[in-house]
Amino acid sequence: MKNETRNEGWYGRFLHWAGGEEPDGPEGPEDPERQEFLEYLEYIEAHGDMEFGAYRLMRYRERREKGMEGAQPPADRPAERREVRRPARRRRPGALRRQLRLYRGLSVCVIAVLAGIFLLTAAAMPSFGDPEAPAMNEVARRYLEDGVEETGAVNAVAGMILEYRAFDTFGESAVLFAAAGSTLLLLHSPRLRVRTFRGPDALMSLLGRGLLPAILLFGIYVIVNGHLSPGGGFSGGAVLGGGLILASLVLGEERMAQLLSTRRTTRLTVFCLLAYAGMKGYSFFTGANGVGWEIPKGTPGEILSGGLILPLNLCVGVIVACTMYTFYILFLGREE
Amino acid sequence: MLEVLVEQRFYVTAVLLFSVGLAALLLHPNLIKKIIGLNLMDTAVFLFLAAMGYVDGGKAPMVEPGAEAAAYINPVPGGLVLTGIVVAVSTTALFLALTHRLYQKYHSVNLDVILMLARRGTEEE
Repeated sequence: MKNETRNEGWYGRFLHWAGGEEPDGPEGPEDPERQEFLEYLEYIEAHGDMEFGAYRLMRYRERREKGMEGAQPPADRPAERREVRRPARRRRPGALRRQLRLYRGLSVCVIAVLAGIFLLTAAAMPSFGDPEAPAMNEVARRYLEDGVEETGAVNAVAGMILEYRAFDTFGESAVLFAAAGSTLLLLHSPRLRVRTFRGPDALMSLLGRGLLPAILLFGIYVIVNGHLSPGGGFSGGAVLGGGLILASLVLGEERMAQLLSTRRTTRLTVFCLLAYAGMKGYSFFTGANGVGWEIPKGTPGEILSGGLILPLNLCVGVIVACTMYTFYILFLGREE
Repeated sequence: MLEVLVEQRFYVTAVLLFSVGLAALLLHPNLIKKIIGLNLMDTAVFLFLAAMGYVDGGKAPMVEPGAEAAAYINPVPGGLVLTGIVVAVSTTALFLALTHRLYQKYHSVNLDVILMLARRGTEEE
């Protein structure tokens, strides 16, 4: 069985693996380890004393030189202990193939059942665009009717995520930072810096240099106007991050690494997270305890309004832009 | 039946997208395609939430003082979709990084091959 399946490429090896190594148990007549141990006993009788591990290594090298199939490097444990220990799992041939078929069948069944349940639910949902739908409850009504007065932001979504639910957004920013940090840990390898940058081609350079200021300016506009118009820290930060990636393509990665290294983006992100936590902690603490040192709300509709929403949007924007850029640099394989 | 499907077309599309994504996630052995399937499922959830927030004739919630709530769409699902997008981006980046590491070790993105090689590796140790 072993010799048949070795020659069939990875799929044959996979099926062979799925079938299990030895069809006859460890006590069976063809237990290769026991066979080898008996051979070892004969060998030391003829050639003098030798450690079993050294003997196995020698046999392995001999088999390798002859190019024999089925050569396996020796295990470092002595055979006596291996004989007592039974392998934890022993599968019959084709067991995993059957399991795979079962898995596929079960998966299709699960998907079909789930899709059926979801479709029935969709049919029973309140009809699309219904103003009386249960989702449009007193929470949404409160945000829309009193939000401008309470938060000072014309954009109800910005007022919601950065004022009523500001700690939720803080957690989101922390998730982004955690993802960037773990990606940095996983992909950080200074050895991959051998690739040379040949410089952008003429079209890329021309278009990039023309578009880059506009993209960066638009990103800043979306962030700064987050409390007045659709947008905010997340969308504007994504635009800024795209701009930074384009800058890296146009200016070359060495130049960008000098301007904005991974270390610097990480520091910026941490600083913005701490600033966010400090500002929101201040406003929740003073608001909850009636201290009274509130941030002035300003006139709704003006750029300096909405209390802390503008600086919070700036923080979120910087975090998102830095994270996007870090992801790009890391997957490029050359940070620092 | 058909009327319901047409009327609830956004929910139905979301269900179909979700099923396709789940199928790719469960049945494809290629890790990159599994991640694409996961992203499809994310997108389906975003579509579902965004469709749930819509109100007939509603405008984007840039509230003018003194306006009625019924004139705007529901802002709550918008915030939820925002959260979802951020988490989707983060998990996608993390999964891709893990896949990259697996590829560096096993020179394959096929999960079956990786499992087989990993099992052989532990046997030969």
